[in-house]
Amino acid sequence: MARRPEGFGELRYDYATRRLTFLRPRREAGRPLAEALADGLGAPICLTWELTYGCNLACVHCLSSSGRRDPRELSTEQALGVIEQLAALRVFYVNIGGGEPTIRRDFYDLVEACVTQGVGVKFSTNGTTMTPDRAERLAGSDYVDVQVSLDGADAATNDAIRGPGSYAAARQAMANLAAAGMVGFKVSVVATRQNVAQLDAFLALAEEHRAQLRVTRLRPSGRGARSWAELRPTPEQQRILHRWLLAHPEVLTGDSFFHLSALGAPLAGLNLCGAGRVVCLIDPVGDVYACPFALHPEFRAGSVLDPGGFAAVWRDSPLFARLRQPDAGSACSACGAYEACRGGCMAAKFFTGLPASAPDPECVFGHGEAALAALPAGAAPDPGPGHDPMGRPRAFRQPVRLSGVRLTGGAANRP
Amino acid sequence: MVTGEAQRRAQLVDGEPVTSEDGELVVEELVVEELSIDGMCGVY
Repeated sequence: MARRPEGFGELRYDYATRRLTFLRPRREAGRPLAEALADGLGAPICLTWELTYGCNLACVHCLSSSGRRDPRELSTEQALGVIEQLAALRVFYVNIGGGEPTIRRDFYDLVEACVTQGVGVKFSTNGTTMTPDRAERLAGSDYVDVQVSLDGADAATNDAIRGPGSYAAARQAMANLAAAGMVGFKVSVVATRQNVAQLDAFLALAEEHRAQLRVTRLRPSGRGARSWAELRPTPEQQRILHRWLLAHPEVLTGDSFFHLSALGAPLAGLNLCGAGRVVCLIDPVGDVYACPFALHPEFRAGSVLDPGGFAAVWRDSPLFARLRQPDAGSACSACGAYEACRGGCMAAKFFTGLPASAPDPECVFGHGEAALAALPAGAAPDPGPGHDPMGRPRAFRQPVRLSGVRLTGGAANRP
Repeated sequence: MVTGEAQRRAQLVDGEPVTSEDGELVVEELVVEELSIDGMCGVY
């Protein structure tokens, strides 16, 4: 159990159950918890740390447009320094991602350093390096959680997004983790137009492996900017998704669908944009951003390599100070559902060219569609070439390897 | 200085005393709310 006093009271985190406890004086109880957290905290509760832009896949919706490693990537020594800073701030856990974070030679050393210093770890992986031996090592730790990415309940659906062989690799990783006795690892799905019909199948797959299903929102960020129009769920699918998530409270969402709370019953979670308030992101070169869905200079808060390190960025960044201000009012303020949806996702708005005061582009009442239609051509920011210099949003690399075994076309597509 | 009276009245949650930002024991009644670590937007 980790503990941390905050302005509103005290925060506690149980590493084994992965649950947070918020303790507030009863005289504060009239103020919603989300409102108290929107003011910001002394340190993030958790943060995403993308260790590398290198990746052996080229998913069409990649938030960080990953592919080739950046030569300015933090060294092992620099990364260990970041871990010390996070531990000193009592950040409860880091969500390690990338790219594919396990391709760094020092990946498991960095995970060990986090655990040793009391910082819990969940890492996101495409599963291509999850050998039985590694699964065994990971299964033995209460402090390390694993999240395998999967975007289709069959190879055809998944591999159209993540590349040939990726479904087979993810399924093998899941099998290895289950065989090692790792109960409750995460299977994380980005909800798309192509896979909303497979929600029951995803849940069955997760349960078959004693894993926990996680379904999250597709954002028009990174390579996702180019594929968003083709992949985003339809309005009817959003309603189906909302009903399905309400019917399955055991499915995690990373609170990524708070814009759907405008449909009626709120989904589990804070229903709050946590960017710069309770979470943030550190990128492979040490830059700090408001959140993983907003990797753009507009949302860059500073660098862990600046004087004062991460703590100074979290505490003093003008961007974060702005995000921690009460909402200045928007086109949504007068909407009866505003208290539920809070105007939606700032990253989704930014990368579709909408101002922060506009409705979410996927507003369930269609106000976002109307706002998008009124935009001039070219309003959305250019996502840029990302970290794949070939700039191939829909071309895939060679079939992936799992621990050195090359998957053939047949094996790669076997369910 | 924490008085004996304050220690007796101090809030315990999960058997642990609750302290404020300046390290003082919290003696007033508390509201306890729980949330999954996954319940915050901004983590993929």
